[in-house]
Amino acid sequence: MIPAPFEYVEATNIDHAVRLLAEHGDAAKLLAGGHTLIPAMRLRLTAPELLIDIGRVAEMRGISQDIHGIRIGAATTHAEIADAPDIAKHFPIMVEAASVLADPLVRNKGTIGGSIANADPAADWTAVMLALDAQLEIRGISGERKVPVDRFFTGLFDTDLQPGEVLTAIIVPFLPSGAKSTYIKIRHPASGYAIVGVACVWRKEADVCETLRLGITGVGKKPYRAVHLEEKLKGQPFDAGVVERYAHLVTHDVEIGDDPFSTADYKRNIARVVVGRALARVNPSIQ
Amino acid sequence: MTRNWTVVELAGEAIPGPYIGRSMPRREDPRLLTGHGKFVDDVILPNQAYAAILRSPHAHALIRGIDSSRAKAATGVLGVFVHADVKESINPITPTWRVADPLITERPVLADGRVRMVGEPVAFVVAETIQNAFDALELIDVAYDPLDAVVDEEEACKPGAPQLFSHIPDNRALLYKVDGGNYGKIADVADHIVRIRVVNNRVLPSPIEPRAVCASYEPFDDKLTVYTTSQMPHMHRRWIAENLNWPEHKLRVVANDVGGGFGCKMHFYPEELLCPFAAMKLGRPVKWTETRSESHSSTTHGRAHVEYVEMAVRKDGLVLGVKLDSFANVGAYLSNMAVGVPTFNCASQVTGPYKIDNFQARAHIVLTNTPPVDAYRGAGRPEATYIIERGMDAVADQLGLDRVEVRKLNFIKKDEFPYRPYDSPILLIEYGDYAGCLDDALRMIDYENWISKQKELRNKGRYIGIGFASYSHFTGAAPSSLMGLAGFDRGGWESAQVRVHSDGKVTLFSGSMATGHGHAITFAQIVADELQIPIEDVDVVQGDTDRVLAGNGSYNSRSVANGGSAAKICASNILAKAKTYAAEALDIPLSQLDYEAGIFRATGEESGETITFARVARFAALAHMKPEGITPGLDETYFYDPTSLLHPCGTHAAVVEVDIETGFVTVLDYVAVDDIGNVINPMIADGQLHGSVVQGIGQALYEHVQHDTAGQLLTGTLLDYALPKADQVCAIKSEFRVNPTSHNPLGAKGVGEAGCVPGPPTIVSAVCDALKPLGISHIDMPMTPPRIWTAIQHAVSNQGGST
Amino acid sequence: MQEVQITVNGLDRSANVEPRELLVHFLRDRLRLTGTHVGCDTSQCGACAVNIDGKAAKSCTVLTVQANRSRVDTIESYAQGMRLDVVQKAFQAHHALQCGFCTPGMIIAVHEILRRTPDPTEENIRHGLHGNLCRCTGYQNIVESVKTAAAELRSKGNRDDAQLDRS
Repeated sequence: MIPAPFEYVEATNIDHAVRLLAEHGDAAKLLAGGHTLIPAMRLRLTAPELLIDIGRVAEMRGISQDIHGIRIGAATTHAEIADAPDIAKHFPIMVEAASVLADPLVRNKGTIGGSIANADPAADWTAVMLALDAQLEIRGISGERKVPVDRFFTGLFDTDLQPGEVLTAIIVPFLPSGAKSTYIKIRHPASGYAIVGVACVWRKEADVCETLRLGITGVGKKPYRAVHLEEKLKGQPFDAGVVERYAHLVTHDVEIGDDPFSTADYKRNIARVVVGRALARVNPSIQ
Repeated sequence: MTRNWTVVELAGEAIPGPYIGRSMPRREDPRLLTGHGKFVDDVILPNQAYAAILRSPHAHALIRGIDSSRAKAATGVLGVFVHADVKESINPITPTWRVADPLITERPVLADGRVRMVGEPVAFVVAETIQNAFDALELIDVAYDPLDAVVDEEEACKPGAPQLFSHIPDNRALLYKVDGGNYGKIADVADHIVRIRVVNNRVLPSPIEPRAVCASYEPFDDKLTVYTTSQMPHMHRRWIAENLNWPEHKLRVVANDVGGGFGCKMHFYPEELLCPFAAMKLGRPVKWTETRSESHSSTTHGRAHVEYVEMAVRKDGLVLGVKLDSFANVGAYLSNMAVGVPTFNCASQVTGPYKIDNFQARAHIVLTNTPPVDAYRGAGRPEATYIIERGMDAVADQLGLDRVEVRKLNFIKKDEFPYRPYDSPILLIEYGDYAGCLDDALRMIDYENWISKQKELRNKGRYIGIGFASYSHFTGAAPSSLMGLAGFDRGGWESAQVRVHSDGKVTLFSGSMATGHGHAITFAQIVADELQIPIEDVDVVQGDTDRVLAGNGSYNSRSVANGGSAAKICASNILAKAKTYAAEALDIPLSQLDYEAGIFRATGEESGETITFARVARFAALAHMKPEGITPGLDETYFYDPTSLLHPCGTHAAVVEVDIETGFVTVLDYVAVDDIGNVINPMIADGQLHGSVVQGIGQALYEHVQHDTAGQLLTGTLLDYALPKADQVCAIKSEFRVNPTSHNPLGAKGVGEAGCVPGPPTIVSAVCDALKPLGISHIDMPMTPPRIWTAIQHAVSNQGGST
Repeated sequence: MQEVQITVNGLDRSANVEPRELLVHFLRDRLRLTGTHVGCDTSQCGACAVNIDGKAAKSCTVLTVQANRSRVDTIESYAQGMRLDVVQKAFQAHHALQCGFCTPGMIIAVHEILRRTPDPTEENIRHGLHGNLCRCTGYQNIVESVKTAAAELRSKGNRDDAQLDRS
């Protein structure tokens, strides 16, 4: 199918994009990789009047590093992240996620910023960034701000991004030494999106669980941290029995609905199972 | 070995024959591999306009009015057509297979005041560009009065259900009946009655090329040309002509490369009439290309039956009788073959490879507010095989017997052929070594070994299942007389024309139609062998009604069996005529003429005078010296009408692992043993089988068309409808057992459907075997993870145990 | 309308396009490079795959304006005249195509697999084909042909040779 007509501007830099957004308000949409937006426009589910292409804005692309962590430009593609030596060295969880996200061709075009800003409830980077406790760098007409990712997702396809704001980068702090991480995803057989995805960062100290962050995608209306489960497991030397007892808390307080493919009961179950598997993977002693 | 063939190397020089039985590389490949295929959407004619279709968003509604004035005034729009504009020129579409005199629907090409399904065409827009056409769709205002819809086939024929047509009470177009022996009587004396309800789930044929139509009209020649994605161009020519009241001789239908069909491209659709209509009306070529999401409601679906099965069984597992009540959902209008598929092709075929004397089948052909359902690869025989194979598993399960032994006990034995199932006056199976196929499949899958591994792994919490399914099904739709008896408005013959050019090179014009089958090489193998000439000297032409004189196209695994046999007989007729010219040229009696490897000579005279096939061709073309009573030239036509349907058979087996915590299934191994008769090109036969099996696996595990109760399609894009992907299936090991048929001169029985027929019950049987320890005997297809998990939860809570 | 300059199969092409014109339509309708196909509208099927600046992408999900100043290589650039490249040859030898509609996209996806993993396992190959649907072959012979092409390319020593073979 064919999208409805629109105007197109290739932004030269972030400020240019911000100015254009401020000028055109809701009629404008940002275009990065376009791999969510363009299909929606082809099906005429959305019809923006202006597309502001930020896909080639140099300051939004690429991966850099300082002593605290790495900074990933929002317009960096999934494939570039998967291929970056710094990512492979410090954040193998991101390589894992990139290898199960969409397909190899889409990964060459789709961007991490697009994925996070779109806030699809079954996207992958959302869960991974929650587990990594990332910060999001956002620029608007009044300047720049940083938002912790766990405050960013506010609802179904809804985020803390205000009108006129652009997500410019994702800042991921280094993990403390000894921390382990993994991302396990159960894919919808058609779309490839997560039926459930569990991103897990874990570290133990003196045989007790010192750090545990669980980012969950696919089951609820928005990606979230499984704080109820994290709280139960932190500070104790958890074993398989403990995990078995508490894993169901992964969906505690989460509103889950049926969909044509699966039931709420199934999603609750599979989230419980997958969180158990993720914990076993980072901590083989509980298998 | 996953393959038992090595492709013949193309070394640049001539490859000597004989060719049949060898894996010759395909001739389409170079153009398709390099982007030079000629698909319908690749046709760009001078001054071509583009069409788009406004489709109903309602499953059932009255149309109070359509205002297309804004669309007509929009940029680039050349025409907006609604029912009133076309009703005088285009006849409604009616089904062509009318077995047992069903009530008939007449489908208007554009909705006539009422829509009966989501996706029903309401307005047809033609514009300068495809962008203009899609933009104009949004400017057409249609006022609908929604009506109650009915989606489910069992609900639709209950009293009080919404009615689609006033002349079709209870939405039942037909109650089809098949009887043999006396089921009621045998059920009274049987030791057990085994009852199951199974669903042949609704699926999408989904060739990766969506449908497309491009039509042009030349006023000075008064000639209409329609390029369409067709499995049977001559049938499409007839239907387009009939429905436009247009003479066939002024209509050319062309299908060059067709990107897969699997049945859905042999049916007849409104767009195939609207494009030529608009082309004539506007004086411009008009092209319409279906979008993928559009295709999910505008192209026919497949399967969609619910089956209630009763089996009267003796305590040793012998099946004395079978009773079937089948509810077939045929959608909102009876498509082309919709009536025949669940009836003749399914209900009457249920006994399959088994000797079941008492048989009673009832098939309810039910209209619903969903897209039309019609023949999809296998067309009825996958459904029938699923019914009987789930039945055999249920017999074994409920009587505590072995699945292998139950099948062997019930098979028609080798010495009982030819065999008439349940004394049917129509059906006659030539031969089938069913037990041999089953034994081979079990050997190939390493059955005994898996049985012991299965126990071992179950103790470790891993759930392995081994499944298999045996089948006997019919192919080669024919003879014409049977088609007539079955109410099928079509012949069963196939045509071939062999034209020998004046240099001895040969063109075969075939009425079969490749849509990925590779006929260009297989049919050349047949003709080259028959004429004993180099295969490079034989070209094959299909897919153009101005070049090929007649044809019935490709479906029902009939191409090689019927079209290939036509080519072989036609080539042998050419040779017979060539011999008369050769005898004349050599000046010897015909009876003393020998022919071998392209050379004619007098019998026994190795060193005597010879004449080549090419020289004879020139000799015949010049006709300076004609044999008595013989016409000039070497150009023969043959219509081959087979004497019988054909019966391939086989057994497939699979090993699966079920993750009982998530419900995910992994197919670990899959083997196929098929008796498809003689094989012309093993490489191509194997390829057909692989793809067909994966469609079977798709139906069993992934594919499912879902509508909500209001008739809205829930699987409207490939984001929701799961076609099998490379990482969701495994490699298939295939072996062919060769028992040639005597019904045709090639001894070939057809392969295209051999995978999707036994595929679904093979996989379902394997999954259920894995879950047997949990007390699960059946889960409906598609066996998605949520369905499997839910079944496990029910089983566990019923048993009060835990996994 | 927007002016674009795109190097397609080595030739510089410029055109004025509507921003909504998809790259696949630019290639098919304007340049008549009809080897790139449209099989779906949700970027699932991969029939529209092309190379953009050396990386495989789905041209039905890229606006022509997004490809401005890029190098685009379509299936038409892979063979040299009638001489098939390594992957195409392997496809024919293994009967990895039937109807051929998905095939151009498959060839491009296979090159992407081999670019990333010169010695792919069966699992690598099957995952690498995740974004390309084939309804005819059941994928089996495609997988076999990737193994063959990979071995062939490796035996040539390095991928520069492979590129030579392609060009």
